[in-house]
Amino acid sequence: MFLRRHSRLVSVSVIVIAVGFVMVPPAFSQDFLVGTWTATITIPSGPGSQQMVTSTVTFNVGARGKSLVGRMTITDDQNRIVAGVWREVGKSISITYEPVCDPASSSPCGTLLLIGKVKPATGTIKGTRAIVMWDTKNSQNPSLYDTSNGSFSAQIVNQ
Amino acid sequence: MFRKCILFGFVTLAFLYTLVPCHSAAHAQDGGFTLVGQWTVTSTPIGGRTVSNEGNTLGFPVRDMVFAQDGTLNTGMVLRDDIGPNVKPLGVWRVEGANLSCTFELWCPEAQTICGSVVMRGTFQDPSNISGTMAVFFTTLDPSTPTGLDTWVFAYTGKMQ
Repeated sequence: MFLRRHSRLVSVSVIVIAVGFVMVPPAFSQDFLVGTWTATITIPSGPGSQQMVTSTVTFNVGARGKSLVGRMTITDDQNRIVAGVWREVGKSISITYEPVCDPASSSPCGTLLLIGKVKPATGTIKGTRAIVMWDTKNSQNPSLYDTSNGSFSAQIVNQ
Repeated sequence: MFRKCILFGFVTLAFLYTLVPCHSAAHAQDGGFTLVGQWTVTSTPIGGRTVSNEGNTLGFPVRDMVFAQDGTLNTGMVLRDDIGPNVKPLGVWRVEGANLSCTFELWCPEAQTICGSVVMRGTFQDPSNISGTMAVFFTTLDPSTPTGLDTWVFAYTGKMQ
């Protein structure tokens, strides 16, 4: 009865809702990464090195708003803070940032790329890749710079 | 009269010295180069490679990029108003002497879309000109690369607006 009487209103409502679903990209569905995380990152100490170095950092991940990528800060174990950026598609995440470059270190500086999957049920990130692109040139590498592979994982602190 | 001239000269010099650091601080990070500002970046293929091993590419468009600095937070953004007002791939950057590094997350609207991250390396020719290479690590797997990700590089030049 209601539907018949207000058929036009119902039709318009259905169209509006449908258009809304179409306009919201699937990547916006939920921001699993937003919050504070403690992450453990293990990477080689330098290009070609077999010696692995583990560091613990804190991710403070901000909401994406209307964008498909978001900003975050990374605080290292010496309380130094740098900016980072992140992308989340479904439960797959990608984080990249420039760790603090320590001039006293014997290792070259580098850029970190962390790829993994968020597990909301356990509040963890299972890292599938931690890639360092070092500042040292290497014409044999497809990126034209040395790269190294490591690992990472993270546990949520606050969401 | 001579003393007054000397005194005036000292005051003038002191005033000029106070102006110089203010000017350079706006253009320098740690007394050197900085990316802060808006840049027009033009990309070109290296060795004729217009696509990656797996056939992925970003093409060779001219992009406007904006970099900012807030304390230790160095941020960047690519303006893609050609696609939509909210399309702004985000990044971060650092400068060591005349060398620069930036890293960006690409904008990907669909889970099925091939996506990736871009790492820029380069040098300053002068405060308003940069050049170098960009490496794109696509989400597509490629076991032949050291990272296991499909990787593509191209060259770029950038000019501050």
